[in-house]
Amino acid sequence: MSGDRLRPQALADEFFLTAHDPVGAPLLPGRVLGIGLASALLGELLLAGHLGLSGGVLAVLDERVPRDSLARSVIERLRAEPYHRQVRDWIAFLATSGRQAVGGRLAGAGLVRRRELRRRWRRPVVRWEPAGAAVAAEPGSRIHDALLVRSAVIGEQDVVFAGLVVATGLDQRVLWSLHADQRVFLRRRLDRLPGPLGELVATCETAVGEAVLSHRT
Amino acid sequence: MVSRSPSMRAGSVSATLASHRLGVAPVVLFVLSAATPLTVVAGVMPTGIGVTGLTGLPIAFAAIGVVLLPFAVGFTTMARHIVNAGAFYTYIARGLGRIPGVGAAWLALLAYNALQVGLYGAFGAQVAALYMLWFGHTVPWWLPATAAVLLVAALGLRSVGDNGRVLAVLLIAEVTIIVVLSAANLTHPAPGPILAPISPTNLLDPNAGALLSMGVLGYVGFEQAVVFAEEVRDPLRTVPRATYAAVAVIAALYILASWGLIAGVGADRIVPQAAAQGPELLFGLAAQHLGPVAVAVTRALMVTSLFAAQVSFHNVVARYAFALGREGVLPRALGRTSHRTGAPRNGSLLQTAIAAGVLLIYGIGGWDPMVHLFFWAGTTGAVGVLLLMATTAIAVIVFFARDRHGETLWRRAIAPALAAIALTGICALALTNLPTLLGVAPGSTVTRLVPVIFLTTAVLGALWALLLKATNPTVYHGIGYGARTALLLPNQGRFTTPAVR
Repeated sequence: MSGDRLRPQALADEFFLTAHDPVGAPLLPGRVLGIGLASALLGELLLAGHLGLSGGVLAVLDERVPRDSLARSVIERLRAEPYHRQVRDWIAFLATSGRQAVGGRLAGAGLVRRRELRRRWRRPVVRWEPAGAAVAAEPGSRIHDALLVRSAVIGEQDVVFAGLVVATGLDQRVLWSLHADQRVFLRRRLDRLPGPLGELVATCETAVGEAVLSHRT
Repeated sequence: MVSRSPSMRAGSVSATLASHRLGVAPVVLFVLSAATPLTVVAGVMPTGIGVTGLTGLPIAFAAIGVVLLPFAVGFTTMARHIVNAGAFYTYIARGLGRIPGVGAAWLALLAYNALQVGLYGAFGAQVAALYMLWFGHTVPWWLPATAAVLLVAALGLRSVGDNGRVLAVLLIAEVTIIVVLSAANLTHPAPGPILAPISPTNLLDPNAGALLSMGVLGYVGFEQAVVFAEEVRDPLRTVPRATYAAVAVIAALYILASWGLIAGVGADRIVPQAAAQGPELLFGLAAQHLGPVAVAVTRALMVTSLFAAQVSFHNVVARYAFALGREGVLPRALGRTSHRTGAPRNGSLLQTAIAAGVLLIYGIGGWDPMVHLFFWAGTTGAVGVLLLMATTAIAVIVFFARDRHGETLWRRAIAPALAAIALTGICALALTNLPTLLGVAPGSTVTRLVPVIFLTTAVLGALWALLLKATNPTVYHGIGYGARTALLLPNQGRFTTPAVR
């Protein structure tokens, strides 16, 4: 899996790997990371056609059960709470346990290892160490390289991934060497995303902005 | 290694969300700790009395408090129906229109920047005074002031000013000192007319506008409770209650403190002494009633109070610029966050640059940091906020006149109308009393400059909005929606049904 640079993994997994540094410390502040992961988890379900999104409201589209256990638990939770369908609420909810959940999934696949560091006088921190430097750098560099050559084919999932990276400010780390015209190209691809996916990226951006404004990042 | 099946945390969505949300107490604490009382009590009060020659401060604080309560009713009610409720310009944009909204946004940036930058004058002067006291050497005020600018810049980039615990501890310490000292002052007053400062006849004085402007300065920051509108457990009740509580606590504290200060020195003697001593007046009273340890603590707390106020207002300005950057009204670069800290990085840097520029001008100009920077910039900023509040009250009425949104008559019309009338009257008084407020001769350059600067700023903002309407209708459409603009933009026909209120 780690050698295949052309095929993306699950959206939330890729976001998680991109959002942590080589020693497994997060590159984003807590809430923003949670918002990004939550958006990515919902994005997985939107991409697979399990969910729809319109006007801020999520809809469960079919009876299919996702194979992945994390995606399955998200869908089941959505089905169990039919009165809660505001996507903003779901992003806020999933954000609270996003790091733990996605980290757990990656750990189950052997791509990261959970480490708890005890520090004197302070609360212990959790590190999710990637299995190798290449593992962590993959998604970001794949997008980055694709954007450098504008004629390259960028899949829909990669565009959503790039959108979430920009929305959470992670592009300062991952896509910082892009030139202006490459950013314009990315912007145009983002604008051409179908309704639900485009709205997801915009909702992520809004959630991050509102976290900043309310001093709770 | 056993791989556990990752799953969502057990518990309903509502319960999880509620457990992460805030109640009334943390919101009130945040607002009050941003109010940094000792800055007002040791800084604004003695300087203000000395500059204006007026001793009616206690009744001014009471009057403003009374006016702000119906105002709070009005604008917290409107906050339920709009987004980006933490900024007055949003209310004006949604109520009176996008063009006045941008004018108000620029005026707000001017006013809050003035409030923030003015604090460096007091900080520099106080640290220089302390340095002289402890080490016997003079240091120019702009040196500690510059150090403060750099430190605030560093903290602002890390979004560190939001550390509730540190601010709460400082707040409790400041309030304790103020209450104890005021009680001592009032129980052992200097001979003199003790009831004069709280007499309502002070408000009939032709210079009442200056008193009221100083009064407003004490309350600036109370409006920040609405910033948490999306973060509280009970949005309908928590935010209004927190706002009323903040107004009430601020009123009680400052009425007590200003009355105590005047009674402690003597109403017939305080003006020349305040003019001569400034904050030393308060430290002298502390020495008299509480002893040398208390004085040293108070001096130190004043410095930390000023610093906390600088950080607090810096954050307000940075977030204002951030919201406007997200809307596209200001360059979008301002809407970027720092990825590591989540701070509104470019907004923070902009505010730092403004502060540095002003300090440079004042340093070269050689003007007095307490009067010409701290007091003038502070009170000018307060008058700007007063103008914003009056306009907001009117905007609230117009907003609900178009659509009741199911709110009661008291909330949507009567309370904001009372506030609008009172605030407009106070604005008129404040502007006519500018000479007294600034302590200069009527008709002098400064007093003519202030209203001109306000008007020019607002008009430039309005013209900018007109330009946006003509050249960038997408951005124009999003004015007043803050971070929510991304969802509102008609992105090639999508999201035209706004998922916003």
